Amino acid sequence: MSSGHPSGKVRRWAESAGPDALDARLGQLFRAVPPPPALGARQLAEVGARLRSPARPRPFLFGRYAALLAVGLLAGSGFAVASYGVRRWVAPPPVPPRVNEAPAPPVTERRPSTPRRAPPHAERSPSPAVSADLESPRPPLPLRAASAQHAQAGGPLARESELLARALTKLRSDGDPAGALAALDEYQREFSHGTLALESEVARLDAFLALGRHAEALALLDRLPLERIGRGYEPRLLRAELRARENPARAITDFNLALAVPLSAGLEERALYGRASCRLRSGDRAGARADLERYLERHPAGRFSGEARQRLETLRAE
Amino acid sequence: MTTQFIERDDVEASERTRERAVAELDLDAIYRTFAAELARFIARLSGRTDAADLLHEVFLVVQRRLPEFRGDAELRTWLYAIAVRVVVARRRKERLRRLLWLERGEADPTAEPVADGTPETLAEGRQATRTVHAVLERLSERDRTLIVLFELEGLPGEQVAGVLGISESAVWVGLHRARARFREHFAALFAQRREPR
Repeated sequence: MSSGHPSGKVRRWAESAGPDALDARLGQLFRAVPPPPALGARQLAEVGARLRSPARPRPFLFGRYAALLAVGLLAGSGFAVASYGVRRWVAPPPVPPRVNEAPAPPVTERRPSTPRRAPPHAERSPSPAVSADLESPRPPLPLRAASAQHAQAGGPLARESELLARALTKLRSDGDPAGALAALDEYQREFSHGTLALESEVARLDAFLALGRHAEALALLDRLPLERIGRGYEPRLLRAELRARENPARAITDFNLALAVPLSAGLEERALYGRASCRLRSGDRAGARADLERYLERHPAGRFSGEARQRLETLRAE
Repeated sequence: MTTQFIERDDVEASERTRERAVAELDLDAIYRTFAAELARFIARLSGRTDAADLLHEVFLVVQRRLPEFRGDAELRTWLYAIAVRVVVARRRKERLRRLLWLERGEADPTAEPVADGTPETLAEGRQATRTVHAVLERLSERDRTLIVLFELEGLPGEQVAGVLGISESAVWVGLHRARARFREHFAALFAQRREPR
């Protein structure tokens, strides 16, 4: 290690030969340290189960604290004997309470400025592990239910379904995203707060993407409640990808959130490679390198593996 | 690096969006994703192999503080930061208890056998682990944490900074000092072991 001011070029002991014998020994030592043993699946499951059960108060360790209390009392009484003289010790008279003493202020618990929320177990989006790989758009689920309803009941919902179905047919069957947008505009004019408003916005998103109108797609993704779309973490990923070129730092936030949860292989590839690209653009070469290494470790034959290897070679050569 | 001038409306919109995004974080998903990795880190930092209790304590804090997580830092960094605080606090409490003769000494960091390797490499690994932890025990908590994060966990400087809540320059300065102290204690320990009995 250099004697000057340390910099980011400090090499770990495990990665360096060391300029002297002691550093060489340290390198050898750290290289020999194995990873610690992992907690077994059963232990992990037990901890997980404890987290879900309500907390129990810890037992008061009477024995241990009683010993400590006894030691403290002995020390205190010994001091009192020494300070009052040796011949005879007389307990000091009890001090009468002061009648005019103001009561101690009540201890109030400081409430957090924002109300505490329980973990959002009830309101979260479907687990990505349950959803299939969602890279191709699917028809929104409520539409089928709505179609069944409207066949019998008719009324506004029937009209909403008809308009939305027309838009979706243009988008998915006819390959006419411009025509789909026109149909969606018609829907919007008639039903600005309709039952299927969210589904119409998702269809609009798909149409924007098909037309390459990425700025509008991104603006829509910023507005939509992503947890209610029903496509797992793909919309968040998509938003990060759309934002990556213009604002890689903000894109990284979305990539981070997506990578915080289990993803399907396809989405994980996009997230890891996307984040690596953004980190590179932001100047975070170490972070980009870590992401590319992780990508190749997990997806050695993935769709970005060729580019990932090339970029990694370039980074390693620097 | 390109810069982007972000309009005020965009910043406010992104804040609202980020708040909505953070609200989606699911403790179960976070546990499934990070528990094993954090357990290994906790075992390293605490010098104990029975990391289950500490893991539970860490995730209790995560559960309590999840609403505060704003997505400004990477989730992994945030979790590591919580783990560091919990482990350091526990170690301090245990040190105090040992001082007051209320606890036994710490557990052997190599109590569980490593799964892979020949008997020779296993033995070498155990010895190396014991030596590293013996030296780490002589360091301050800050020095110890820096060494574990950088040398053993292999985190880059920027991430160490995020975990500890300090600047990257402070990481390098602290690491320089921590490494110097580690070398001193290691040299002393090595000399002791080589002294004829």
